[in-house]
Amino acid sequence: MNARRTMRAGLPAAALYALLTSTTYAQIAQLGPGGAPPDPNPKSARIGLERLPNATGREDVGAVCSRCHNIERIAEQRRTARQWRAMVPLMTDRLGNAADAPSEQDVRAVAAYLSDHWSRPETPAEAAQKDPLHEPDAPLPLAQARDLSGTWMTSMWYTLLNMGPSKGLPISRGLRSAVNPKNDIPAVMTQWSRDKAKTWTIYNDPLTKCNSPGPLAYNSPYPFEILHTPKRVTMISEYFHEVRRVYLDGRQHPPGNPDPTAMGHSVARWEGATLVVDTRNFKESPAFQVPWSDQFHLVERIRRVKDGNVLEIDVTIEDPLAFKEPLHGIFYFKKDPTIEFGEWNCDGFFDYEPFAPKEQKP
Amino acid sequence: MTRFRLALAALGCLAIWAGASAHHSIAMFDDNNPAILTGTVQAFYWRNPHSMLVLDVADVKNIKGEAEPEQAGVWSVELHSTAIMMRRGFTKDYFKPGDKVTVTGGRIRDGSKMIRLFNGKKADGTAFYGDDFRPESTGNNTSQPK
Repeated sequence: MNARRTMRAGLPAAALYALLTSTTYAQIAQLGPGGAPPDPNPKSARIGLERLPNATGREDVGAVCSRCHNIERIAEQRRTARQWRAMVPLMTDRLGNAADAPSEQDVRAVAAYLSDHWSRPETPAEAAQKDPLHEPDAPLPLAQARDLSGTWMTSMWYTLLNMGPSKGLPISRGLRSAVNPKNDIPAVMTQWSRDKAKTWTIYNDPLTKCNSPGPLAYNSPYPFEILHTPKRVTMISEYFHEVRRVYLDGRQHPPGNPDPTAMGHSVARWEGATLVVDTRNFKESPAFQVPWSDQFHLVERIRRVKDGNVLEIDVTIEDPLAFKEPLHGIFYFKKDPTIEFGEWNCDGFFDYEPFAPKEQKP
Repeated sequence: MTRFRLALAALGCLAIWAGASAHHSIAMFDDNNPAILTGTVQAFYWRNPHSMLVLDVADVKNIKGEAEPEQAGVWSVELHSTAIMMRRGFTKDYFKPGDKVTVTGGRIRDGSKMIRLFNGKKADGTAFYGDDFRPESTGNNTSQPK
């Protein structure tokens, strides 16, 4: 048991050392905490294998990697493809020339599987090409799956805001073109929205004048709360105190956009365990960095994943006046009842000019 | 301002609708060009969207520790919103005029005397933290101010 614990502590440091010095694990084994004994119970070491995507090579990962550590460890870390390709041979080197050491072919299969199916993008360009990571539905009874209430906090900010580890939380994927994921938002902005954004600066940003950020207020480093009642889902963001009322009583959007609003008019229906929220009737935004028009149409598919502890919001946006192509993104939120809400008011004191040096004001 | 916009366009996918850092993108700050400031607190604004510390700075250093005497003067240090500061343990009285502090943060790209806080220290050695998204830092930026 002690040996295993030592190994656990020693491996990351050893891996880092190896990456820095190009030393093989076989060499480290002589220097450091000793070679890894093959797991006496390979079945238990495969714990976590089911968390990896089911594709050719997953069994190889189970067979090869579980000889020294469980698969949970792999499931909890996403490295870049390049890192996996470097790491796998370093790891398998530790088994040396034992008769039952994995063959070169096995090692290649493991490295190929991890770099193809369990890597994180290394560059923004690569990120653009990757398909969104869709999580499976949470295995909950339907009545429970259809209860979205709780306090939710965007997953990507957990570590960054010192709110605890984001380990194991799915990674959000920002808005990009839905038809050609290579196109980011600036690439699909029409001349109309470019012209409108032209006057935008950090000093006159409409948000600094208390203009509403709109329905995607949850895409911020601030938590939001869902009050789920039978005929309505109410989303309350800490950010700007934004409130969205999403109607589940079967009503339709008022035709003809009679009352354009910053948050729009939201109605929803259930598709299995997924709440499909349709929002229209927006008013044209002020000159934001990314402005939108009154044709803005937002569809959100909201469901609980990861045993119900993570909320997935799959966002599709159409706005023919503002964007040449529809936009798509997926955002993940961790359920966190410990969050204490603060006040995020807009008193109209959003004036950055006193802080801009006089000679450099716009 | 054009430079901001170009930088922001590059990070556009992060910065839409309340994207990266509350009301404006962090792209206006260059995390790869930090300044280390030692000075005296003139004012501390506990406010939204972002709290602000105003320092009278006599000693400016770059990240290599090289002094930049021509940069001495009044600097603004941008912190976070009151909600996030509250969750991190700050209060409205955390900094008082006259306090001596040393702070490190990414400089604003237009050359103004302004940084966005990574971390800092009070004269008594108390450490406090802002956002430090540099890859080399995200692994150990977990301490809370006390």
